[in-house]
Amino acid sequence: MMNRLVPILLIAAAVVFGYAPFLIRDSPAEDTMGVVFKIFYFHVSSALTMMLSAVVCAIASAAYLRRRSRTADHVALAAAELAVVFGAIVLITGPLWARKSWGFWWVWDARVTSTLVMWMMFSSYLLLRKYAGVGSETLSAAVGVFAGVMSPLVYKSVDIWRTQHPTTNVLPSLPPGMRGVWLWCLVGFLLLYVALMALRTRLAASQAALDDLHLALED
Amino acid sequence: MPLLLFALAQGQGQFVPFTGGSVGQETLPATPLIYAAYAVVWLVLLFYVFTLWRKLGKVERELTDVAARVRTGK
Repeated sequence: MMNRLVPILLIAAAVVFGYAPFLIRDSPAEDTMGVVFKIFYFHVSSALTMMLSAVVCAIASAAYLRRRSRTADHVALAAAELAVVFGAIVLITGPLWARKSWGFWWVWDARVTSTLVMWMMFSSYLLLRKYAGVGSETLSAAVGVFAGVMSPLVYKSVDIWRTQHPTTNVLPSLPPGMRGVWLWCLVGFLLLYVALMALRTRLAASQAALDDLHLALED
Repeated sequence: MPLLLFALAQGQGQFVPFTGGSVGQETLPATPLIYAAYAVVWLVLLFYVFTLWRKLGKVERELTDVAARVRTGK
């Protein structure tokens, strides 16, 4: 069912991403930041997608630790990898935006630092899976739970601590001319995320089945 | 003065659309940064989709091949 939906989701995401630059071009600049604000549309959408993926990874990792379900493990692995991919986008587009609006590429404030730490935790999840050998599923699941639990903290960090980064209040208070464009981009990222999750989970399941068959062949 | 510094240290709480006409007087040009940001997004996502698709194809081909070998006992 999901496999048949993937091409449709990918085409829908391509349409949304294809039209997004025209909407972004016609959207207003921001009063204090100017035109560079337009990075917001992809930066925040990918950040929210990364946080969603982090939560999915934590839930699937917890399910794996509790029930040793292989499906949960495959979902956790897919979500961790996608958290790294979307996190990389956030960590590259953020400094490009900051250079113009703050005057510097990087600042060690709560939001920026906690995002980097969470991204590094998901990277360690993937490194564990690749190099830890037998039992890496359990080790990485524990890392996945901790990394995913960071997600709400990363989101609320701008409200808890004083930071250079804009607060969470900017999203509900977006004016209509900006909100529509941002929601359009967010929908594109979410469509792509669901499609990539389905594909990556299928890859993890196929790899596990292949490993099983290799073992059967050796026996 | 400390109160002013405290206020300045706060993150921005709201985005307001610019209505002042031209925004062409900015010192550091924003356009290359915007193009760079969007190029990064497109390149990262296209590269990931491409590698994922290739890996999936390779693993599924190998899976079919090995499954056939297991069935025939070779």
